[in-house]
Amino acid sequence: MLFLQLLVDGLVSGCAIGLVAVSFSLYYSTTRVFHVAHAGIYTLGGYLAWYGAMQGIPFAIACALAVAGAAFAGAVIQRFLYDELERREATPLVMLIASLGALAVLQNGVAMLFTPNILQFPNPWRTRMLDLGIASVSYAQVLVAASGLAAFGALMWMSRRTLLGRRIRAVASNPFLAEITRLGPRSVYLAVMAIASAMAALSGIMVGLDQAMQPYTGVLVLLTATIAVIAGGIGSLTGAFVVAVALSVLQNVALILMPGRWSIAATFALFVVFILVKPEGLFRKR
Amino acid sequence: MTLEVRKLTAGYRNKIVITDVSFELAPGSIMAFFGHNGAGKSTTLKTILGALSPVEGEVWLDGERIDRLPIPERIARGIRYLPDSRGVFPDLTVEENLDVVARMNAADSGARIAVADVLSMLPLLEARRGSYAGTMSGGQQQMLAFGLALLGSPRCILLEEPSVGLQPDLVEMLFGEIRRICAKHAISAILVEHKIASAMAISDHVLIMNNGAVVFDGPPAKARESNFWEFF
Amino acid sequence: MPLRQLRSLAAAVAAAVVSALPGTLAHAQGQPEILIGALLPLTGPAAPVGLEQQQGVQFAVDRANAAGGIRGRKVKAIFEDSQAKPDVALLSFNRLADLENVPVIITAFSSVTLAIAPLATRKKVVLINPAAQSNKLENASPYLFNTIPLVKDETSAITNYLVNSLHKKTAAIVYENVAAGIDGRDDFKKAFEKLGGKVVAEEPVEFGLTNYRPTLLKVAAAKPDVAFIVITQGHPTFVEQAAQVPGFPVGAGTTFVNPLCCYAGSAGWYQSAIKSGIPPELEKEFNTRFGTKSMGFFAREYFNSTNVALKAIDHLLGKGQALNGENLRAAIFEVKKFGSDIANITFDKTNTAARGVDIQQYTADSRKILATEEAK
Repeated sequence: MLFLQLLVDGLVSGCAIGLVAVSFSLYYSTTRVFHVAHAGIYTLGGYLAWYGAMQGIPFAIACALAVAGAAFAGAVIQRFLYDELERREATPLVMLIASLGALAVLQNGVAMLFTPNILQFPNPWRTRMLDLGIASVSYAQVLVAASGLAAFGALMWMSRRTLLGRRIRAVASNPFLAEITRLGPRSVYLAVMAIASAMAALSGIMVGLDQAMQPYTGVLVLLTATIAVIAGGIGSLTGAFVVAVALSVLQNVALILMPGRWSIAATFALFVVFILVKPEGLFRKR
Repeated sequence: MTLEVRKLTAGYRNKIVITDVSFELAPGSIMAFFGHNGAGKSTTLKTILGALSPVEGEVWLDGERIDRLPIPERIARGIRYLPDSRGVFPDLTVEENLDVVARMNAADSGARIAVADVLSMLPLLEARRGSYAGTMSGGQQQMLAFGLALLGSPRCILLEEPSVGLQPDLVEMLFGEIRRICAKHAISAILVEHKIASAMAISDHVLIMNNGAVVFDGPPAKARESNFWEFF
Repeated sequence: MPLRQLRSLAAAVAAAVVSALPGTLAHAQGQPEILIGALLPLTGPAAPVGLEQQQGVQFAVDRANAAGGIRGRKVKAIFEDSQAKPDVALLSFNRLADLENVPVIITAFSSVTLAIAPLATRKKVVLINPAAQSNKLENASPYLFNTIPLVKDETSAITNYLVNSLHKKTAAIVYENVAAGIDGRDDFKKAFEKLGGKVVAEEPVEFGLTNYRPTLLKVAAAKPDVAFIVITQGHPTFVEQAAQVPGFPVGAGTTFVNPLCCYAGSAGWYQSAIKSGIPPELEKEFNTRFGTKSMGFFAREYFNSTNVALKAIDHLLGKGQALNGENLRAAIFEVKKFGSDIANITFDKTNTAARGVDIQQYTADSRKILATEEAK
């Protein structure tokens, strides 16, 4: 069944994009910085894990190390770039340009260290197939979906149930009050950046495992993710995730109705119409 | 004295707003702080809070000089600030608002007021525990903002126009709570307020500013007799 | 300053001045060197390819010099970097043509070659293109010689084989949504339909993306006899994902899809390849010289094409004519047939070489040649 297989593939890819969307949304709604370099962190995560796997490190450990490495890289960007610029009261435009600069450094750094070629993970089990009855998916696709849903669930739980989660929501909704009630906005920003980077890296690793990696693919993923963030309603994590999955499914399933060269254009046209009709997004916050 | 402001001169980038402001605040006393817009009330409060640095002068809290400390250090020592709006975290429930502030301020030596105390002092909040702060009325939000300021070990609360947007009966109720709680816990307060009669009713002390300088400093009874009305 | 130091300083200055002079002056006593230019992507993303091409050119020059040069004159290759970018290439071309006065430049990449072709016509500099295959190169300049058949020639060879020998009647096209992929799609469609075949699906994949699944699923659902593939990157991933799609048809393509070979997932697929060979002792010599494991496609083609230029220069000097682009162009047509152990290249009235095309079939770990379509 072509339709079901496309649907399932769309759901799987959607989980990966959803993770990027949710983490981007988390960071943006907390700091109001349009962190384009997030795409570079996504890429960096995949390459770090690949490097670990090539050294013969078991995949799970390579993955954990890469996630930690990406979180650290994100924290460095926060501490030594965004924090410094904010201290100097930089405008949002300056922050965006700085972020683009960080993106260029990350992408080209990755290309220099690991070659600009398309790279694949060496683990042979990743292409094995699992028959779900209505469709079949590779083991790697199972990991993409499972890690995406698990990380999203963990983030939602963290956001609702833990002190850090409450601090993050508090800082996002009223930074001045957070400062004068000693919630420590700076350390919250740092933590949010580390968490968001870890999530983006996880997505980059799993997609790399399932497909392959290139230094410059992250930007396209981030573009789709950003659209999901806006259409889902800025500040709504659930909205970002749900719309990302929906977009991905739509892009896949649209192929039944039209030639592939139109499907991306059609999806984005639909998005433009959607924004015109409902500019506040699907899951607007109060 | 709880709070001592000595010869304070402060302002923004290239503009001095207040000059030579001095006053003292006894433990548990409430000071009504009047003056027309631009007189320098907010600048004074923000300098005490630490959002602005003084050009000259000193701020002392319980015998410790605090005017060089960063904001969080002053909060830790008992300064509290209630902004005229947005004094709550709208995306958190009442309970989460109180919980996150209480836990982040729990380490202060001798934290005296916990979430449970605030809820019992302000029963209105108890009734709305699960509501998102952003969905509540202005009065309820102001009550919650006051509750947040009480958490930990407050010594001196700076209130900026707490009555803005509130119905008159709510203003009386809020001011009544402020008076009662401050007296009970020996907390001093500075009340910047346009509702002069309501503010005077709960104050022990009145300070009037004009053009960045203090023009009256004395008890309410004396203030009523004075000719400070000419400044409004 | 002591006299000895002064003297050695003067000597050093003199040496620097002499070495800075143009080659013709420095070597005034002997015969002047023969200079040939090579405009290759030596830095940037295409650098791995460019460096292999450079080795091919240098190998031919070294062998010519080891054999005593061309009619007693040493050969020297001057390399300029194009970064595979047309704008950079234009500046580099001018340096080679105006400063070094080379009669011939060996090029790389369709976009670069097309950009400098008009200048080559105007300045009468011969261009030799050993590897780029855009159809537009056919008539880009009377001074441009393509030593490799263009995409349409190769496509028509594999299409003939698919229709006439394998009796494929329906085809789906998977193409990369960029100029090369779109041209390849159009060439195949034209050739396939001309032979009576029917194209049942045309599906693009986006350059830079590695998720081919939706496209592959749609191709499989169209149930064609063969899938014609025009992609220039991501080949292993493509094979991997094609293998995961039940009912995906046998694949076929041109030199573009060379890296699809030799995976379990692509066993049985077909590919055309420009016919070329390499004697083992020559490859061994190359490997010793450059420390490589094999002499790749680009090294071979650039080596062979450099030899084409050198042979034409030899012919020209033999006739006692002046070594310039205009005479060299005529000499190439006079020599006409450039045979070697690597390939037989013929310039018969056109500037594009007629060469044999091999039809290969993949196995899980190698490729075998099924047929050869000889040059017409």
